Amino acid sequence: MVDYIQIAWQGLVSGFAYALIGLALVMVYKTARILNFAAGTMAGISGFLAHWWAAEQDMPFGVAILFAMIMTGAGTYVVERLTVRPLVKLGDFLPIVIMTLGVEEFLANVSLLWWGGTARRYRVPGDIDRINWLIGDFRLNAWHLVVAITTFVTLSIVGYIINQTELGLGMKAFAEDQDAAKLMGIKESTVSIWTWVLSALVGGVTGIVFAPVLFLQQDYMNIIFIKGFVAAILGGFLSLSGGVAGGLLLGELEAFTIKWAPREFAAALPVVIVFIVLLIRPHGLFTREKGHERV
Amino acid sequence: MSGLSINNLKVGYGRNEVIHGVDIKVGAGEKVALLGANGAGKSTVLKTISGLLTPTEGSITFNGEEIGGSNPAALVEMGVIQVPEGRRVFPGLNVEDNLKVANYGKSPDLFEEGLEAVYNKFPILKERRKQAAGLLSGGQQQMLSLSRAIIAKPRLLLIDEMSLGLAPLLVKEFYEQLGDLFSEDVTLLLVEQNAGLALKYCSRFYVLRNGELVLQSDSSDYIDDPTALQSAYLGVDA
Repeated sequence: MVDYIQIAWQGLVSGFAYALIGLALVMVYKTARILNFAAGTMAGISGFLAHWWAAEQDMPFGVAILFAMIMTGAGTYVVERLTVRPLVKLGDFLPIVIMTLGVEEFLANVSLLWWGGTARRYRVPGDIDRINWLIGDFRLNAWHLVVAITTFVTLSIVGYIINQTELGLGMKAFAEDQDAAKLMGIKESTVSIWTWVLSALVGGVTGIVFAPVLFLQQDYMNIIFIKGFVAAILGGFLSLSGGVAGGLLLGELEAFTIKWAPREFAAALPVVIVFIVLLIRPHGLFTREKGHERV
Repeated sequence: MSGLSINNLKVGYGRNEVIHGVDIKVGAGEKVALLGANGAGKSTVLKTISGLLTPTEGSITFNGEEIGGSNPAALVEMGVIQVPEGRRVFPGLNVEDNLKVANYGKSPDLFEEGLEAVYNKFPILKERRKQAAGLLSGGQQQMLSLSRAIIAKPRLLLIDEMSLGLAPLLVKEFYEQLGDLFSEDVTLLLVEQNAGLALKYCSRFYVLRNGELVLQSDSSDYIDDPTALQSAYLGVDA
């Protein structure tokens, strides 16, 4: 029994990463109808920045993270204005998506130049990522607990912004009907840029909090990005909560696949899931098919 | 000049020009209808005034200020408010959030005021304020769509085809209520297929056919026999 709880917890922790990246992807897609292929690499750079400021510039751990988050937000602001905004006017989906791929390539190479290709350990105060508590036979890693709390807090903040602030209302209005939202006086470019920034901050939190788990490597967030993408597809790509649920589900599926099937199969699992979901429920597991408009 | 003035307006989608040089004047506080058959270009004209489309040629001025090609948000700030065709409520947002969107970027106090006015006029919306707008009936959605315009406090109101998809009796009620919902000095340009209804409410009208104006006149000339407009709509002798 404890065995299963252990596996479920493990799946949940990985699931948190997929859920957060899935959320970040859905957010931008839902409001701006843009797929951001740079989301993973951007999140990875946040992790590197936090590490760099703490380990190489001797900043306190928390301050380094704060700086990394500010840089993430500011950097995303600039990236959106420079690369995405000029293309939005063309009104076409594909050029923007290709542009995000270009941004991804660029950022990946910049980070490779700066930090090199070797893996580093992201040190946390007191090395608490190496502390394991035994509760009966259940093994709880202290940092995993931090991951869980961080995820919960991040989701709560995003939920608050979406449901209680004017920005959130604008995001929802845009997601539902772009033209109608414009006619209500909501500035498209304002909503779009803050959605990008919010999404990048969620990605940044993920990149930082998972750095001790994954080891910092130039492309350490790529695999999380792919799985976050799968999470978003599971959730139908248009539902924020669906993306989160999809991430958690994927984490569990993966954990239990490793238990019962060869490890190699677990690596293929996300692709298999996407295949099945697109075949059977292309609108996602958690969203209803769009009904007919009511007259 | 005050009011809305459109001169030699040309608009297209891509290379396809659909409005071929249209002139429309609506004096301050005047109520004018833009009539025409399906596909005549009426909605395109409205969307261009409200900034969703950019004119390829010509000018649009409101109270003397050039507004052609401005972005919709700036126009809303000036008081140019459109009630879109097909109501276009946000189906997943509840009634109150739909109204809140109409107050976007403005003070919450103003909103409370507007909200009270709206709920007084349409008590059913107050009853359903926590319900998703997509679950409202067509008539209630039209109430909501008009209410958003009330909250936005228009100076120039553009109403696109209220009769679309609604029972004729209901539409008639909405037209009868219009004068009550918006202040007398709101300038109104109303797009409608149903000439009979529009003529009762508007003092003048234009008829648009294939992107060109084919007729303009005082409503009183046709109010007793709106069917006489058929030939203008269709371009044949009816």
